[in-house]
Amino acid sequence: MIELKQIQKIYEGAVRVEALKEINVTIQEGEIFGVIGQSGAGKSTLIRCINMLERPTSGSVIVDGVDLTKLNTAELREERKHIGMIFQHFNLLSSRTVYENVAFPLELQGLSKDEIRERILPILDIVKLSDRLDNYPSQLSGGQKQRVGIARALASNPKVLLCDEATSALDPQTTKSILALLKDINRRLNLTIVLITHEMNVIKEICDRVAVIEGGTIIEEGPVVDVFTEPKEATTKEFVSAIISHDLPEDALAHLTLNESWVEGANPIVRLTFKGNVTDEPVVASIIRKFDTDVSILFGGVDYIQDMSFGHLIVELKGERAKSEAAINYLHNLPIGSEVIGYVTANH
Amino acid sequence: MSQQIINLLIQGFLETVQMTVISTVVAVLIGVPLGVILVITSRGHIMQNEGLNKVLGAIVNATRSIPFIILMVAIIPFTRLVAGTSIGTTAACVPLTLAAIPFLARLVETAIKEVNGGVIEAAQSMGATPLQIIWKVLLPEALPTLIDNITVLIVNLISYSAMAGAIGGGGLGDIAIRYGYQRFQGDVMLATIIILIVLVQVIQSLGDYLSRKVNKK
Repeated sequence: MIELKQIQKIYEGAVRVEALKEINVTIQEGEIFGVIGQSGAGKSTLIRCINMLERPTSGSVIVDGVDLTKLNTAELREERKHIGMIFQHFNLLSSRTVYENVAFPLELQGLSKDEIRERILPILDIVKLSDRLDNYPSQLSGGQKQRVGIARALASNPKVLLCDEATSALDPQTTKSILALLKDINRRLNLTIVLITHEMNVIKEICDRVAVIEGGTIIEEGPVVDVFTEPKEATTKEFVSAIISHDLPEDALAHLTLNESWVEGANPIVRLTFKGNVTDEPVVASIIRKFDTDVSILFGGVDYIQDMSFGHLIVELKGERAKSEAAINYLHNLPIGSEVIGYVTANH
Repeated sequence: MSQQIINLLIQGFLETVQMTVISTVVAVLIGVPLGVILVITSRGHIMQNEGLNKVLGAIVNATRSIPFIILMVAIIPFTRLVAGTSIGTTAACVPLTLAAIPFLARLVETAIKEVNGGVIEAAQSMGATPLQIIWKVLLPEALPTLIDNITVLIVNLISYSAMAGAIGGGGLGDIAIRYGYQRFQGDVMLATIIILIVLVQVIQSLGDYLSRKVNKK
């Protein structure tokens, strides 16, 4: 549905800023694609390149088969009608009521009053604002304002919805309800959604795929579950750790010394990770039984990424070295993630 | 106060209103578009044109830097060309309008600049043309401030029109100078001042009311 090829954006000026370097992204029809990055990473510029509010210095932006970089201003305006956008600060017209705000894009297209009414009443129903048609934005809460923003973006039947930090100005509870609404619209209308955010939570809640952007480059990209369970880049790990802790908390190591190698008398620490219900094997019980090794659980938890459960467990194997080695070998052969992260000795 | 003076005051009042109304209407018709052009042609705005922006800005500044009393005298040939005469109420409307246009243009410029850039961006993302952005975004969003601006302009024009009286423009100012000042008729002076105060109060209150009414922020 959307294809960004070799996108480059350079701001010339007193200081030359390379906001985007060689961005290549393909977004499928009907998916929710998230772009996450710190402020200044280039995510705002990136999403604005998709509807050409920012014209890329080089590269092409193909939306539904049309290369937007090749269009003249009038043709571009026409194409933009198929690309809805919602904003962090809603950007509603303060002089217009809820109804008039949602009618705005259709007014621009020259639709008659009756056509407009027919088109937007069902949309206002979807976003649950049918009882606030005559209110002005100043009379609405943040969440309601964003619902108006969403309704306005949907009014012209777009193929793509761009969300520019759409939940960043909202409280956690409102964020959840807006995200649920976006997911609902995505499913109901098979609408392709691209969102940018600095909150991993947003990605975790609704995105199918995610790209991590840093310094104007996409450093990691993939299905959300994969990126969450196996983050590769340091920045990605940082984002993920805000939601899911992969590492042993310091407290757990208070009475232990962590060694890099298997020194005399040390016990291995193993991190086990599993996605969904990959194994019926009672892993911990099996180790204890089969290898006559005590297992001490140091840390663990189960998280849900949309409908997929993702668990992790950090254990210490307490037993003879040969038995522990055999146990580790056994774990490696199971369809779960297992990684020896160190060897501990008790510090007395 | 004799009936004759009262009639004089009524006539002066009507002349003042006439000058103010004519010059306000023309100034709004020219000053508002000029103010809008000053904004949209500025750097990074919807119709960036820095050359035009600089030229218009310079013209506005030049006109605004001439004191009104001097402007009035300096453009007498132009006034004759437009109004056919340089004396009287109609003639006074020419310099009044000429001074009002750049004054209002600058006020409008500030009001339009205050329109949230995000709203303009949103309109652009929906494929709005520059003209649609002006009519459906910039002007309606700035309307409360524009009404305030026009109120300020009217009050200013009332006071300027009194100055126009000094060179034969008629109006309350003219009466105040000729009777109140030159003939030492203190009661006439006082009467013109009271009428002017009341007039300004009424206009200011009306302006405030309208501005509040359209403000949905």
